[in-house]
Amino acid sequence: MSLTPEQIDVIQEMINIGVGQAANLLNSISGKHVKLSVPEVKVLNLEMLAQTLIDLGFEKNLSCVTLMFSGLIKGSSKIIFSTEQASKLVFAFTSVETNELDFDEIQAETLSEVGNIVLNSLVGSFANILNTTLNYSIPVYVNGNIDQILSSDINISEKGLILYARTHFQIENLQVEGDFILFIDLETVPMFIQAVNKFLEKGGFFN
Amino acid sequence: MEKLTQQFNLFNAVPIGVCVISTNFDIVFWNKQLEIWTNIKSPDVIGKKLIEVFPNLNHPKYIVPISSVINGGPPVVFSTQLHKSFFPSYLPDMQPRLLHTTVSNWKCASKHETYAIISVEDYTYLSYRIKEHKRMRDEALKELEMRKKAEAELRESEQKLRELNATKDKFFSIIAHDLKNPIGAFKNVLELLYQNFNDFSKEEILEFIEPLRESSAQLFALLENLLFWARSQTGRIQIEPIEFDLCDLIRQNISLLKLQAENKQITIESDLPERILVNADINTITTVLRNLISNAIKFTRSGGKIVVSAKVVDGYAEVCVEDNGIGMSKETMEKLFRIDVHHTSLGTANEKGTGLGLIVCKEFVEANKGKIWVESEEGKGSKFYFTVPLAEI
Repeated sequence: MSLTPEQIDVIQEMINIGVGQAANLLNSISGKHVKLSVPEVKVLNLEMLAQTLIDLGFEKNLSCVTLMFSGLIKGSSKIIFSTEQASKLVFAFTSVETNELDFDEIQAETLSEVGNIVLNSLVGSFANILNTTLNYSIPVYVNGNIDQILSSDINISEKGLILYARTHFQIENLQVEGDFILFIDLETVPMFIQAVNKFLEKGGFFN
Repeated sequence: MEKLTQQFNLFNAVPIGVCVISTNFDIVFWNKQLEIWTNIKSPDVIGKKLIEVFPNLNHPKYIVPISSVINGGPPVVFSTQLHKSFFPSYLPDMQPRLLHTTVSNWKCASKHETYAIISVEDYTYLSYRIKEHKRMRDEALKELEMRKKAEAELRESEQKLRELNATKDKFFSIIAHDLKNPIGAFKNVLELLYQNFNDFSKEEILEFIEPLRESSAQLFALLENLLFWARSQTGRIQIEPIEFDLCDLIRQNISLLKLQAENKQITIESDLPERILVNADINTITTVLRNLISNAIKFTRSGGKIVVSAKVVDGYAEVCVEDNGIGMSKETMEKLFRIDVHHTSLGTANEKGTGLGLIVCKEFVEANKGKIWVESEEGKGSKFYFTVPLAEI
């Protein structure tokens, strides 16, 4: 499945708006200066996604927060961190020193909140710009390897649209990297593309 | 309001806290579990604004996400580490209860209204259990570390014991063979002379005495090394570094051993700068020099040559005792300097040895913070090197 450069530009802009909102919220919660950036969005298939994550060294234990949604578009959004990056992120917000060995349910709970803020802002941005209302599940935290994480999500299949973006967090002097993944169910992909096209026809962000 | 509250009564039967608020933040339901955790009764909060009952929530970090949920946005999570007191709650010992809070949207189909359901889970005991597990894990790791340390100490102690045992074996081997046999020969010759003194001519007596004289010199050198080594093993060798001219010491020792070399028609030369000031214990370095030069004499054939040189390399004086004698194989070189391997070789004039001299040299050089090594080729000769720290200028 492929998208035109204009469609990808719209999606990129939706993500940029979402990360801006997420950064403001994280800033407000932590009282720390938080900067979020998503330099590039890629359209991948499931095999390419798994390979991309393996190439990033994601064969080991991962921490993942998932937010499922339904409505005009149906699917899942995920933010995935290596345990090392997850520990760094939790430390950035809580100042509680931790390491991979110490990453426990309490730290995972903090990561759930941070991941949820990012996902809410990103998916919320999609819903706003596409002018639709979505229904959301309660955010889920999953810990495991990449196969376990992908197979635990009923919305993920070989078919459908997968958007992938590396996400850079800068919390004061600390740099953390996570991976944002948006799966859109095959059935609702035409609606998603239609909504993006409609947005473009209206003049996109310059309207 | 009462009818609406009844719809949520099901939440009184669950072990989590549940609070429902309307679009204008009015509390419409407060379940039994929250009553227990917060000590606030349902009638005291129903109909009141959330931020009126909990002023701590009157902050954009709560108002903005909760408003978003009420307006149909995704659920939000307030974790225990980032929000110590969403709904303040205390344990009997007045420690704060750790409450994990999730706010999600609920649309009332019949009334066409939306609400926010605030569900609260108690993570306090989970947190305690995690802390306890971590404590137990840390203790186990500490114990493992201690066991590893103890095992390493045991291995080190075993190694020391092996070395001590090898030292003892070496000591007894020297006493049993290298001292007993020549002294036994001394005894026999002296006994023969004593019993038959008048039967021998002066010339014959001189013939008896000559090998005894040579043998006694070798025995003396052996005893000297044995005593040095025994003292070093019992920690009784005192290394007292002083500043001295190493070249001068080399020249003195060459001069002392020249006669021994000339007896085998071996020449000793030196290749030395005017002076090299070193900081070391002069007695032990003298022993090293004497042993290395004596060894060179021992393993060089008649007509051979020995060169003793010294130069400065990387803050050390490097001494080399080179001979063009019989040399040695790689296997033999590996056995030198080792107490746990028995190795002796006869000299070119069948001079006997114990292998003790080089072990003493190694101990003394290292005690002076230097290094000792050998380069050799069978049939071509050997080069023994050692280093001594330079004096600070």
